[in-house]
Amino acid sequence: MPKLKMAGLVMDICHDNPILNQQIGDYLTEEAPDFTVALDDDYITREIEEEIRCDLNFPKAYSEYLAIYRYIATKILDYDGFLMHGSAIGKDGRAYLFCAPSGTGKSTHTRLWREAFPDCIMVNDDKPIIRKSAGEFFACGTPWSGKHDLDTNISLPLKGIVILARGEVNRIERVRPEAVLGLLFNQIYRPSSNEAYLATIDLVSEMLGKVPVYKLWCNMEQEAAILAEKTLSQDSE
Amino acid sequence: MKIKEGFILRKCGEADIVVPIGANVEKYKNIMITLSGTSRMLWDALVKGCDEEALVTLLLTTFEGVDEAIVRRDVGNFLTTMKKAELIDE
Repeated sequence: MPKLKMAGLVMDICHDNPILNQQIGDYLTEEAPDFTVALDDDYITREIEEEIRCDLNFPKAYSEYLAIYRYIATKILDYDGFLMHGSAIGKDGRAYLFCAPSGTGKSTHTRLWREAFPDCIMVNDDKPIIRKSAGEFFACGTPWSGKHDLDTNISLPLKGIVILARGEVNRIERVRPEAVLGLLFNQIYRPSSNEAYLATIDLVSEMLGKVPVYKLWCNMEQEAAILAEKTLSQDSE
Repeated sequence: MKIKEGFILRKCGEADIVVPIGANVEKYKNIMITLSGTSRMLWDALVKGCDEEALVTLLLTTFEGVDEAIVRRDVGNFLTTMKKAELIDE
């Protein structure tokens, strides 16, 4: 069974999952595991029940693939990490995370970045792990990165969280995190136990004290990426 | 009036957020309640239980010299929001 290393942690995955096996190439390791992922049938059944409740109907292998990540998303809290929905891109050794409700155009915006700046790295296009290490928060690539499978096995210091909204004219401004907590928490994985959720909130609170939050109104022109990059890179100098 | 059971407060940045727990998780999963300084004060009073008049008095005694009409309006708005979100037992 594969052992993978991501977000600086080694995980022994006791599942022969065909979808994960396809994505896992860059993450394989022979190092000693920090923890083991061995889910029983009940755990995977609960994942399937949750999908049915949300009107989703995935092949069983895909449900298992998602269940593995759900388990990791809970377990990683022990290592000061959590999972956040968004498209994380890296440039010049720094990561920026773009968040918005589904369908706003996160992946489209980070595609504009890749076109405008060919040296960009896609950290994770959909569900990066954010992990605190030595007091700093990092956006981490994982082999669960949404429908485009865009991810890199890299952890980069997170230097900006950008809330996207569609606009005719491109504009970016820094916002008080308190003003956008609802939107931010909608993007953060909520573990099922209250204790774990409260620990997640504390970690997010600490992150918001360190990582600036922006709101970007943007269209689908490359100029949107150029404006965002200019502001974010200047602020993180 | 009283805040319903099953909520706890957690500091996040400069705000307090109201976290639904237990059976409330599912029901309140699509709303996010953040409390600023003054609304936190009102929340605390409502956790213990009180009427609208007591909330007005609380603010009038805490903030000297504020206009009573404005305080009444703001308390009214706060309670409307809380009731709409089904956070209060009458």
